[in-house]
This record gives sequence, C-alpha cells and structure tokens, in this order.
Amino acid sequence: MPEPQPEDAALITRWQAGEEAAAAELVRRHGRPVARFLAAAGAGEEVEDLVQEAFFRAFRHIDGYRRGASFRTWVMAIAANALTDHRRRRGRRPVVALGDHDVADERADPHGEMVGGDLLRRVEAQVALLPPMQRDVFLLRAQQGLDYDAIARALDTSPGAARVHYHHAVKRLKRAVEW
Amino acid sequence: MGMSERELERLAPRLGEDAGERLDIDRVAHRVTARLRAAGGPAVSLPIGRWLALAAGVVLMVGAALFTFGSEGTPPGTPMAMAALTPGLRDLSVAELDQVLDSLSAATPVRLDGRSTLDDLNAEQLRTLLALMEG
Repeated sequence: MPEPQPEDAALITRWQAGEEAAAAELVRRHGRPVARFLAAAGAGEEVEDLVQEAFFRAFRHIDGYRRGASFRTWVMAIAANALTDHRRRRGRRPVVALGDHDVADERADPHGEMVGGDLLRRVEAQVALLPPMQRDVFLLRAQQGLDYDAIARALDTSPGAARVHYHHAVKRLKRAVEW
Repeated sequence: MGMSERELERLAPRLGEDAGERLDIDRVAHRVTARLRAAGGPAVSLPIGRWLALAAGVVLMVGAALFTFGSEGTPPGTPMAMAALTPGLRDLSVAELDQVLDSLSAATPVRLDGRSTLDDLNAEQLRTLLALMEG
C-alpha cells in the first residue's frame, strides 16, 4: 500500500524548518497547474521561468501564506503578479503560444468539432489580452474551478468584486471570440 | 456569432494544457531550490505589520473623505443610467469600484473633461461610468 502523501501544510512547515526537499515536493505537486495558468494568461515562452519565479517568491516569503488557504491558489496569485511585473519590465504585449492544440478533442461532445485547437487558441489569445484582474479572476474561476470566496482571498479583493470582474471578462470574451 | 458563456466555460479548463504537459517539473524544482539555497532560505520577516496597518488606515480615511466630499458635491439631477448597471456593482465599495474601473480602463480608454479626474467622482458616478464603459 503506498505511503499517504503529506499535506501541503506539513511540507510548508518542513520547508520553514529548512528542509529543501519539502519545497521541491511542493513544486512538483503544483508546478503544472501553475504553468497552465500562466500559459493561459499569455506567458508564452516565459512560462517555465515564471513558474520558477513564482515558487521562488512564494518560498522566500512563506510567512505571507495564510494557513488553511490553498497553497496552489496562493502561488497562482504570486505567478499572476510575476507575469505582470515581467510584462512591465519588458514593456511587452502578451504572448500567445502556438501549441499543439490542433489535435482533435478526445473529450468531444455534440460541439466537439468546434471545441478544437483553433478555437482554443483564439480564446487563449483573447484571455491574454484581458486586463490583469479580469484575466486572473476568469482563469481562477473557469480554468481552475475556484469559487468566488477563494478567488477573493487569493487576489485580495471581495467575492462581489471578483464576480464583477468575471462578468466583464466573460462578456468581453464572448464578444471577441467569433465562431 | 459570439461564443456562448457555456461554451467558454466548457473550454476554459483546457486553456494552457500544453504548457502544463511540456513543463520539465524536475528542472523547475531543482532551479527553485538552487535559488533558495543561494538566497539563504526564507526571507527574514520584517516588522512591517504596524506600517501596513497605518497605511491601510490612511487609505481608508482618505477614501471615506473623498466619498463624503463627492456625495455632497453631486449636482442635483445628475443623469444616472442606474437601470443599466451591472448586477452586483451596487454592493461594491469605492475601492472595489476603483479596482474594477482600473481593470476596465486598461482596455477601454476613458476621457474625462479637463476639469475632472476619477478622484472627483463619487460612488454613484463611478458606477454610472462603469455601466457606460461596459456598453
């Protein structure tokens, strides 16, 4: 029978006590979702560097993590800030990676043909162009499946404001993505 | 034809999935721990809590003053497109409205007349402006 995985909180405590392996385990556990979040936000080829930066900042300032909150969501909020900082420094527009989305959707449904690679790319391009707060709220809700309370805690806003940001993001995306 | 909200929400979980799969997670973990080692582990906490609390207090006081001043300064009969407001906007604080407005104005430039700035608007006017920008 496999060993039960330690909780995030236990790993965080071990990192605070100086155990480097605990930090590495947290990166392995949450790195891919953070990468997906950043890629959808338009990080382009910088995804890996920004994932690294987000976790580095998180572990350096681990005292800012509130026990009981989701560590993954907290790192995503840090990643969103890192992306914004990065863009400001470089003065760049969002980059939309042209990935391998042209592969047919295996989870196809009655609309499966339309939910293909091209549409996915177009939505990603438009998400990357959203104002940062709308983009982050939209991704945390629609991509990561968080509720408004969790989003509000992560982004330091209120659930009502998060709901409004989401409303505007969806409205803009619906208008922008023709199909 | 624009995309439906339902379709958008169905598609959203797949956004960025290629990047997630491509990520060399062991390399990232190694680099993060190497940087942490070089930086000497977790940063030492600075006693900034009191400063933050003080700054938050000042912001609240200024916000309240602006709100009060703005409300008193609203000319009677100012046209308000209240019926068109986004549901939920009424419940937001001035700070939250400001945040939403910042977010919207990043993509929708707003021109105020030469005499006014956003700071001159009261909560109702901010809501109206948001509704107008939303279109």
